Amino acid sequence: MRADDLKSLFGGKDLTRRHFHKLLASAGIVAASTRSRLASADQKQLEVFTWANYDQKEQYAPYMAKHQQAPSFSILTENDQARAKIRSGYHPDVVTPTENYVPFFVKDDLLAPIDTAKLSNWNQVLKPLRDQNVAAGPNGERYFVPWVWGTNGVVFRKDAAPEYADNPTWNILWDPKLKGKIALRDAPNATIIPAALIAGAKDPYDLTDDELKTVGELLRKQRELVRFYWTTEAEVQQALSSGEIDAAYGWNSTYAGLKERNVPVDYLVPKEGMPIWIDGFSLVKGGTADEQLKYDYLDAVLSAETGAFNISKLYYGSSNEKSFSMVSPEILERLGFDKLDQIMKHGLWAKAVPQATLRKMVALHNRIKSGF
Amino acid sequence: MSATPMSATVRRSRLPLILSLILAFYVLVLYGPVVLLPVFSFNDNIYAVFPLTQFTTKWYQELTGNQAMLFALWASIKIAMASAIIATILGFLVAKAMTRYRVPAKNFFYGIFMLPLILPTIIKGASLLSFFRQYLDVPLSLWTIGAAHVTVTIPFAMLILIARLESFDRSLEEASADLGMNAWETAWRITLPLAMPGIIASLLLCFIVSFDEFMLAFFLSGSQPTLPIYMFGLLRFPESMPMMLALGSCILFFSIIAVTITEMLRLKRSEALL
Amino acid sequence: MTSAKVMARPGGRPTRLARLSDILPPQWRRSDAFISLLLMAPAFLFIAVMLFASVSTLVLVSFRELTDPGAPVAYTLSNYLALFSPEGDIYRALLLRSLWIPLLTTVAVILVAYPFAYILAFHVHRYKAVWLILVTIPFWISYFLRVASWKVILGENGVVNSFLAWLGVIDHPLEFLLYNMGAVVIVLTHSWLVFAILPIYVSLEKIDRSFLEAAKDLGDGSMQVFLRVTLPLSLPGVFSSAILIFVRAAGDYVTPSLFGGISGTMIGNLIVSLFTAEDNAPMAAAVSVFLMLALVIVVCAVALLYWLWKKWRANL
Repeated sequence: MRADDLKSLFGGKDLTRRHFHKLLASAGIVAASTRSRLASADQKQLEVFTWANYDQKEQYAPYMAKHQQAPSFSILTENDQARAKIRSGYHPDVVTPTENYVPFFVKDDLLAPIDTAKLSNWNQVLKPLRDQNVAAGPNGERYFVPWVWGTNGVVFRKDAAPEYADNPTWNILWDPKLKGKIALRDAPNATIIPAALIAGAKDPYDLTDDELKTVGELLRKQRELVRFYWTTEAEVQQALSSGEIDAAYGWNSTYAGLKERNVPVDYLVPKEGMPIWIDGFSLVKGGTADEQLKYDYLDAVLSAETGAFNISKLYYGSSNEKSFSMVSPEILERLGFDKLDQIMKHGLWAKAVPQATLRKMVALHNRIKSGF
Repeated sequence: MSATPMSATVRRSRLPLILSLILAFYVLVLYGPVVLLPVFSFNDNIYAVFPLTQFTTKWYQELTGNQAMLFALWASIKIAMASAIIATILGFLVAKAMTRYRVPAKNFFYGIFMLPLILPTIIKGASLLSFFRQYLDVPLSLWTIGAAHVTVTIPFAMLILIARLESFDRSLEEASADLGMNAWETAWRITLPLAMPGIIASLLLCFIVSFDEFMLAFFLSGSQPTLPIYMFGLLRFPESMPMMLALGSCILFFSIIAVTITEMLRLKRSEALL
Repeated sequence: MTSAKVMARPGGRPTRLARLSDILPPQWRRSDAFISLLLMAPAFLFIAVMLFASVSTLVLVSFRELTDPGAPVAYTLSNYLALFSPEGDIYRALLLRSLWIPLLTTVAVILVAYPFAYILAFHVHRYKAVWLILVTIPFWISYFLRVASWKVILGENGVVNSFLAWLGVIDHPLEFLLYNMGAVVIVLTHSWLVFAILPIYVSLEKIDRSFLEAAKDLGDGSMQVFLRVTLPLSLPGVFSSAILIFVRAAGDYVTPSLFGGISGTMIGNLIVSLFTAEDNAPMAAAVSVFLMLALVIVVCAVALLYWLWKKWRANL
């Protein structure tokens, strides 16, 4: 039996489906539902469950060259919620998780393996990205193709803390001088990993209980300085541009957006380590579209042209190496992608945290945020 | 009014200045947070911060080019209207039962009807999704969102209509029954007109609740998003904020215009009748 | 009498086609219980079908042990025990906060909304419908946009601070306007204002004006008329909107996460986090049941008070 909590919570074991049908048959509901199943049998459109702005025509142009019907898109707003939604029985064909969430999708048995041999653009993917296979199956199956990525660092106002330009460290977020002028991202990874890096944890993605305790102390100290925990990039950009805060945990795209509007900010690449996030595509188990459509779509989004579009329009890095040579050097410099080799070498690639540790991290994050 | 014709005409003549001022203050409070939207929607800065920089209409141009957002808006309007009407009808029946008859196990039923309010929305969303997908196997669509919205709006409709029907004069209904009207006629000619302000308030509130609902819509939406989902998706991208402000301003503008026009037409018609 | 007998009344000549209700025994047709159940049936069936699964499984899951995938399901009390353990301090504190913040909000909303509804009901005579709709229009604008505006209003360089600085009242921006319990109460109060204005207006509007005139004729001053007649008669509207606002605000998690800062997080945030990020559905379910019980108790207590008050008045 599948003991996955949610699924058995709202799914099958305690109340059987037959039970329910019996209950509902009297209301005549079941009859209506069987009809709808028949209607969707012929030529199924590809259904993609992805973030807003990941659904633009330019991003899947090669797909449209082969197929007449565009994919249908449903909007994903958060990894956790997307996972809960798929687990509760929603089956799109393709989904766009963030890399460190993939192992949980796999653990819940929500994804189907991807055969990269069927992807003509796979060989153009940056080698470090190709080499790491997050949540690999027992026979090295791959469940995730990386697509866009960015760095996690600190965006700060040059006028408020100029000294950190030569001293790139996460400690800026613990500087008492900036009391009430600091914003952090409201996510367990975003508060805990930097603290773990400062504390010199052995593996920031698998903290021991002692290390978590140290991290907790650090975060409690930091809490006194924090103005707010941000949830959207717009929020933190706005606060930095109005001068409400002086330093914030942020992405390179956060920095690039502000820079473009002439806000005097700088981007700090912390010497303790700079975590990197990756969004990519996975195939959902139970997606009913034709296999060929799915692979054509994956291949289309991995194209160099799509990557170039993402760099210049979304300010996100591309997984396709060729994309970078298709974008003007000014844009690359503004995004910090001119030193691609260094990022590839020194970047701290996001890893999945073991479930038990993750629970402790989330609990700690919640305690810190609620004042405990 | 007929009982006190004199004082009614006196009161009717004019709103005292002090009350006008108080009303103006309330309008300011209610509209305070939304009048800023039009201001920033014409400002050439993607961040909503003072001081203003330069006048521009480019966000509106961007908006007209964004079909997806307009579709989402239309989807939300459809769902909100349908769930407001259905919830108000169901809520009215419940309110009628609760206020006119001795309901057995009244508190039990009352509790059941309040249940959708008390259950945390994320739990409701996830369970309704598995109900639709795993038990019924219906595809996700605007229908599934609408069904969920009816459940959460029923308590709103019910509470407002109970408050309206409670303790208003039962004798009118009894009189109509004595005059030989059957239950339907009584409902149509006496109860409904008396309940009308409550019905309108219920429709308006249910509309807002559904129009702005995010969590249930997130779980239950298929490829057609509602406006809150579409907007929440775009919040990740600061560049799209001004376009959303422009949309908000348009909703504000058009709804005020529409209300004014309908009311003017209505007044004209009633004058003609006089 | 059985229904068959009704249909075939001996000696009676059918004068019209039998209606659906005719197949029912007459004492049913006239019984309060039957008619009221019939009236409530559509709403009841709808809610029961849609929410039966979620509520029953929610309670069931709250007793489940947190196990790894593949492991057999086991039941336990530990989720509820955790609520009362030393490490459960966060649940208890946030639950209290989630009752306290909505309580403040509800009181604030009623206090602000009542005078407005009163003026609308008794002193505005033209364009009433326009006023009603005008009240709701700000809420046709997406919550996310209203939130953005609130940040501009309350922010450090925002409207309030700029205005106060312009008046010369302050020389440093006030920082306490955002990211605390007060900010949550302000934003929630505004969001729910319309949900009190309309119900209160509706129940004021139905008050028979002749009552008020009669009270005046008996020599009561306006204040006495208000306290003795108007206010009591409008209380159904006040109570129903108060219950609505209280219960809905207690489950909110978006406003606290955007405005709450450290002192304003509520239990709704924790439920969402437990359910998704922490992947601990049993605990999320237990906390939800905990919250629901607390809300039921509060609502019942208020209803009881209302009932006692009504009885007391009737005896007067």
